[in-house]
Amino acid sequence: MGVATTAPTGQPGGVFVPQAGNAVMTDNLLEIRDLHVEFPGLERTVKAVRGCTLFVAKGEVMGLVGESGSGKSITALACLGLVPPPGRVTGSIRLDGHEVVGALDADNERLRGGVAAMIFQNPGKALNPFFTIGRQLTDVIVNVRRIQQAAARGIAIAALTEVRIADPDRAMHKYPHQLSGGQLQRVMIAMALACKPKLVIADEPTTALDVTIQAQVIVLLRDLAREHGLTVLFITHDLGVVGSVCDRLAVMYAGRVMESGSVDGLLASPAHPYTASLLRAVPMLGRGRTELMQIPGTVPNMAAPPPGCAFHPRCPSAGPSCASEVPAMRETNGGRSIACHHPLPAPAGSSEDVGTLAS
Amino acid sequence: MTELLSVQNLTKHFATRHGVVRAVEDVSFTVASGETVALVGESGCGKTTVALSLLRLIRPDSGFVRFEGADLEGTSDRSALKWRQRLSIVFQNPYSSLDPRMRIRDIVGEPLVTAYGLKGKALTERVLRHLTEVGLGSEHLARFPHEFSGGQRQRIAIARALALEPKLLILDEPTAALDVSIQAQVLNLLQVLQKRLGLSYLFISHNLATVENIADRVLVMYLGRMVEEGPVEQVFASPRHPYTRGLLDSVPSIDPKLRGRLKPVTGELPSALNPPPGCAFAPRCAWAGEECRAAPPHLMPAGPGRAHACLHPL
Repeated sequence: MGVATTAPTGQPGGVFVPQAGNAVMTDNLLEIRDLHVEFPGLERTVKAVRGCTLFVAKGEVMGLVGESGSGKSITALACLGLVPPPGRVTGSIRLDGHEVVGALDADNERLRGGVAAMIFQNPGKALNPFFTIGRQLTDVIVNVRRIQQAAARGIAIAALTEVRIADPDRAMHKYPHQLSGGQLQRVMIAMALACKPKLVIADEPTTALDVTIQAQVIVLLRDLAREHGLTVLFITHDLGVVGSVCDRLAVMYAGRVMESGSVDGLLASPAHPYTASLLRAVPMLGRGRTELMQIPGTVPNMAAPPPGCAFHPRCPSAGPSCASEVPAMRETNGGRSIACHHPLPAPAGSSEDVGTLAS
Repeated sequence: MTELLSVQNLTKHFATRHGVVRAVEDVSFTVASGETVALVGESGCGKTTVALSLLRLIRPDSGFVRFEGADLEGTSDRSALKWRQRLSIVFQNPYSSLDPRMRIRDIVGEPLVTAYGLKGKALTERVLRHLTEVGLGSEHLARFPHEFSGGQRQRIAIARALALEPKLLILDEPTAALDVSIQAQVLNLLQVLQKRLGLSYLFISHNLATVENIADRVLVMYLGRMVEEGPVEQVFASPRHPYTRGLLDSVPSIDPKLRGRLKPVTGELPSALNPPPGCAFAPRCAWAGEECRAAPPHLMPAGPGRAHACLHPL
């Protein structure tokens, strides 16, 4: 067993086209191809995203994992045309057939809320402290769905009920400071769902919450995604959260996707040294007092990312080609793709991926 | 192992405009020399208030704190200074705990100047020794905090905490603000330092996986009270208090086979201003009966080294 060993072809970080005939890949709601986002400055230009390619199929929950500064949040903002100035976006993002990059802001405005809704990390900052929950919910619903205020109120209450807020009528009259962090995040989810979006982008929705509340929100999101057949792009740095919510997973590092594939396969047998190192560096419940593998060095400075593969200065299996050549993204088996010159071999016979490959 | 720190019946209430917040209520525990004790619980459960009381950064209402058999007594700044030479703290966020206008030499050197009046070459040598301990070097002496990454900043904070050669280090969520790939560096460094210097740690965290990795014993707090204590592997393998069970079941697992296992505790942490009359966990507890709502249960010993405050232990 092993991954394909053919030399990578095409431009470094170039457009990666998935093979035809893969049932999961053909019906994509979101297609990000070779996305670049730069923030030019007088002294240095920060290259936040450097050739990110990512596909999210209809109805799947896609996890986007990376450390801070890996470009995952900027990628999400770019999907809604929300990259703040002076950010420069190039490449292609097709959201429900609509090209986002280079489109007029008025055109992208139509996508926000109705086609794709976003749930932010800190609900306390995303809601306006001066207006009641009800006012903010109905305003959004009226704006996005173009309906009457009274009808919007009904939809808002229904949405609050759906996210299991106790006594939604009363919650409508409350101000954000009167609710707890967990309840506010439920309100944010209700706001996103009330607009009936096709895609929900959740940017670290549970990071600011306590463990027990995080578990509640994860279960809620998982159930809602299942009931409504939602497509979700779930951004997080917590691999455990990914394991609990997502169907597929893409690992980002220094502005690029390093590896993607099904959660089961990827977490069981990571092929990229970065994913593998990360899995062994994070303490996990049930492992006891094992020594953690240390990833040497630090996250790269995105104003001057390392040449070649950005992970090579920290990589245990880096060779000479890693410092000069950017590994191209290529598909291996079982719907997985990887950008690495020296991928780790798959464990013989144990992986669930092997089954899908054989069929 | 000999007893290093002993805390008995520590209580701290804060009077606010809206009423009295019972931040810490009747908390007792010990830390043996060379031991790592973890204090876990959700935000607002009083973990940090315990830490600050130990350092006398806030004054507890009642209770005793003994260190190496000696009482924490006296109210003068001078006695507080002596106290803080023996136990020290590393805060959660190295981005806010280091003064951005001070050079690393001055950050790590400040406690040495205050406590011993060191200066000149002796000071620099001593600072360098502590920086070397945490894996930094002389080239870093003249730099400012903004020139360092999060992991390096936390190393600087650890070097500062170790400058007075304390016996006990309080670690208040030392890895929570760090990047995932950096957390292991800091955790491993802490374990190396513990072995080399014979340190004891009071490790405050809400991350149970980290606690399992680093701690010998664990204390679980809920709304100002201790609800369970015991050796980490025993408590995590078979928790007695339903809250501990709930915490463990709330940790999302990386193993997809355990995906359905996530069983969140219902409800939220009650307000510390208006806590439930009996067991604070009763409103969220599936096992709670009438007697749970009457009076708060006390921490009762249950087996060697273990204790729990529950009328219906699992």
